[in-house]
Amino acid sequence: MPAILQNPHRTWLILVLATATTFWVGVEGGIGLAAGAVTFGITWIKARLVVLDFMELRHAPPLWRRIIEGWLIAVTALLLTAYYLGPMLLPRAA
Amino acid sequence: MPIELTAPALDTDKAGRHLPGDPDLWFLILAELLTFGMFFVAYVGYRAMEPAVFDASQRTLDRSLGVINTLLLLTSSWAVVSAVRAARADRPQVVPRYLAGAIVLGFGFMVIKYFEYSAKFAAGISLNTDTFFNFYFALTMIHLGHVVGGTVVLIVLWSNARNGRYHSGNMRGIESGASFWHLVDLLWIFLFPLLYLLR
Amino acid sequence: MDEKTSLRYQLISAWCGPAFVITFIIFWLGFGHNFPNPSPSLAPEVLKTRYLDNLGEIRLGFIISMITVCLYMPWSCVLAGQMSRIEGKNMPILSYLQLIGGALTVMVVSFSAMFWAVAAFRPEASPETFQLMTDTGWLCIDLQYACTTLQMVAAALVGLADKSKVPLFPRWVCYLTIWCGISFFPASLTGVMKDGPFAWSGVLSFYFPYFCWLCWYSTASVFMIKEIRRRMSVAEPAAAGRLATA
Repeated sequence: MPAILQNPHRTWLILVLATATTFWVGVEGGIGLAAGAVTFGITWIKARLVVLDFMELRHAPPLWRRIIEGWLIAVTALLLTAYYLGPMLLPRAA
Repeated sequence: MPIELTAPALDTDKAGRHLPGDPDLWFLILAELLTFGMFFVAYVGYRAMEPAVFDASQRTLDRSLGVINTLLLLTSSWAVVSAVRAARADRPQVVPRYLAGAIVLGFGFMVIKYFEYSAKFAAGISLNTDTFFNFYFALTMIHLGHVVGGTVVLIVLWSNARNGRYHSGNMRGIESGASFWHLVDLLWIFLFPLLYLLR
Repeated sequence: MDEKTSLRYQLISAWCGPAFVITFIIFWLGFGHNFPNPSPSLAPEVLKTRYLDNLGEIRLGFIISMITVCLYMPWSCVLAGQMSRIEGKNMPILSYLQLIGGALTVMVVSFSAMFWAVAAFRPEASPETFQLMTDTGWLCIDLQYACTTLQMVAAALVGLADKSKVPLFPRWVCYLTIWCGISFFPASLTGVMKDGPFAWSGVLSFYFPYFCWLCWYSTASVFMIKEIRRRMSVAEPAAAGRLATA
């Protein structure tokens, strides 16, 4: 396997490509709820890669891995909830 | 009473699993994550209350600078990972080179933020302009504080690494600093889409 | 002074920590009407009415707060003593730093309460005067946190270097202490923000950091009291032995 396709170089490459994708979705996707979901999805994937491969939690005791991955899922879920349900649940400022 | 985080033993359990750096440092990382998690959710919540204001103000940001900063931090994290791997593989002469690269990229992030802020201030936009800019300046300044702190940590690691201090027998210091730097990167991975991309 | 008396004073001083937290919550937060605290965007007239409607309670709250905040002093002294034991025969600079950090924290908190007490002193003053004194008090306490941050960082660094068999603080407490100290930095934004979550009445620069501070303070108090109790249980049989031979 070429060196660039091995960890952590591969992780770095995926992260760069994912950043380019979010940028493209954000610009080209314009205003749209689907674009929001894609943006949050890619953010979660990127964050998970950093946590597992850069912070090396892939090889950490399972408890810490679960805690940090749990934080990732919880925050992403809360952000999605606030993004989609917030406009219905929260009062509009004038 | 030397203040250092370099206890000799590595914390590796029976299955060979290992939490990088000082295991107790992870409590600080978790606390930071919880704090910023609260910031992120608060931001999207406030955004839902004033979507028009947030959209209009968000459009004035220069997205390409945001992307460049994301790439700088990602690459910097990669350089730190490479430094840690080099130390673990007992190639101590390579470690300071990777760390120096990471430090330069960290400074690059600060320089770009300086230009971003000064462009906003020159356009008459301040921390009090509206709720979006409340959040934009507050969150990026708090994060920038972490970048500055993390860069200081990397400089300390670099100066130690130049004396060949990090090798497979002494990983705790460099792993602790690296974990903090990845945290700074991780937080920006959330901040960038929230502040620059979300519509 | 014999060891038993010294330990008793140490224990009393350490308990001044929880006593400070309780009186601070009752008088500063409760009687002082700081929960919720006045928003910086409040119109001067509204702010003045807020004082006049609760004049007696606000006066009582802040005047008592200025007395009870001094309970922070004996607490900082115990911590300095315990830290200097860890620093050993070396120059105890971190203990000193913690001690003056604690002393200056008392002054920062005390002065902010004094500005509000001054505002409540002349009810006939103009609304702008009320606003000025309220602003001064809040910016006094919110912008001058660095003394407290240094106090906390000094305590954490000594804790991390503690090689005792039973350390004063567990290592995770030391890291949380550093994080708590860092969590004050956003409070500097209160010097500019007049509205929103980062203004001095906002969730992210009032409720959250103050809550963190009280958490740190309470946790540290628990471990300090434990340490003194440990030493008492070692000292007491010895003291009893001395009495028997005398």
